[in-house]
Amino acid sequence: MTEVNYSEYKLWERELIFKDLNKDLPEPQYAIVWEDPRTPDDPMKVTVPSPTWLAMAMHGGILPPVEVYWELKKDEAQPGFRRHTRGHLLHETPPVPAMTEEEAMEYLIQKDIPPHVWHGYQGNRQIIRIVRRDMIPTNREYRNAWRIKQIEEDLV
Amino acid sequence: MSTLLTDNIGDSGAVKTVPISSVTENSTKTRWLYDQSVPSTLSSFNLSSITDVTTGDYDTNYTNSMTDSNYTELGMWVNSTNAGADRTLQTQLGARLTTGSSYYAVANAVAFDNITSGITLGDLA
Repeated sequence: MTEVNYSEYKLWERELIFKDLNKDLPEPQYAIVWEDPRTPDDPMKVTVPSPTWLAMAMHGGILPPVEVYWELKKDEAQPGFRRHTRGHLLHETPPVPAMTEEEAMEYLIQKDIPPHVWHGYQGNRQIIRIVRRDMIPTNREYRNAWRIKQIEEDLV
Repeated sequence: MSTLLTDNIGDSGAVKTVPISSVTENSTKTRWLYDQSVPSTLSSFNLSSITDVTTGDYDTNYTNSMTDSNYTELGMWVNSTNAGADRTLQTQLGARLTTGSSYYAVANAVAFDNITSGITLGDLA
């Protein structure tokens, strides 16, 4: 079977093709735990990639550079924004090569987590961490009180 | 992959036809089945990640952004621990961006850390 050249397709089409060729994708090993310094009283948030997205990131040649998403977010932040006119960047920018799972999590931080959390924060707290998913408590009784522990050896 | 180029599709007698745009524009652009108790995405399309914000609240993030924020979303909570008479089907849409949206559990409902699902209809960027 010949290798699919995903860059020939639109981004959403790439996922359709990828899902057709790749079944039973594994659950991600890692999650991103983070706190928003603009809402310090809120509990810790937990961001987990979808298995399909993670598999596409690790496959390579499918996802656009994260800078494309930054450009679209800049457009959306403009006053009077109505609709994207540069959506073609998602489909036409050469895709990024294969990433390790750790690299994919770093990409995801820059894509899906607000920039003020991972860039320029100057407080003393550790407000963002990539952790193993099995470090996240399974008992959610006190979910609304979760915080990132400020101890190097015990992050969650 | 080959492409079928056509303007309309219909039955064999061409009695009932619809423009192809009614299929392409009205198909589901994003979907997810999410177990917040883990948290884990059980099934999805066009979803890069989900953020567990707090009990019953979560944010979705799309792989392929929507072209504008005037898209339609349908979401549903299923409180599996209270299946039956106390089954809970309540959700509320919060912020909506082209890159994703926020969902909130409706106040005064119970035990929301369960299965939730949703779909998005609209135009992709």
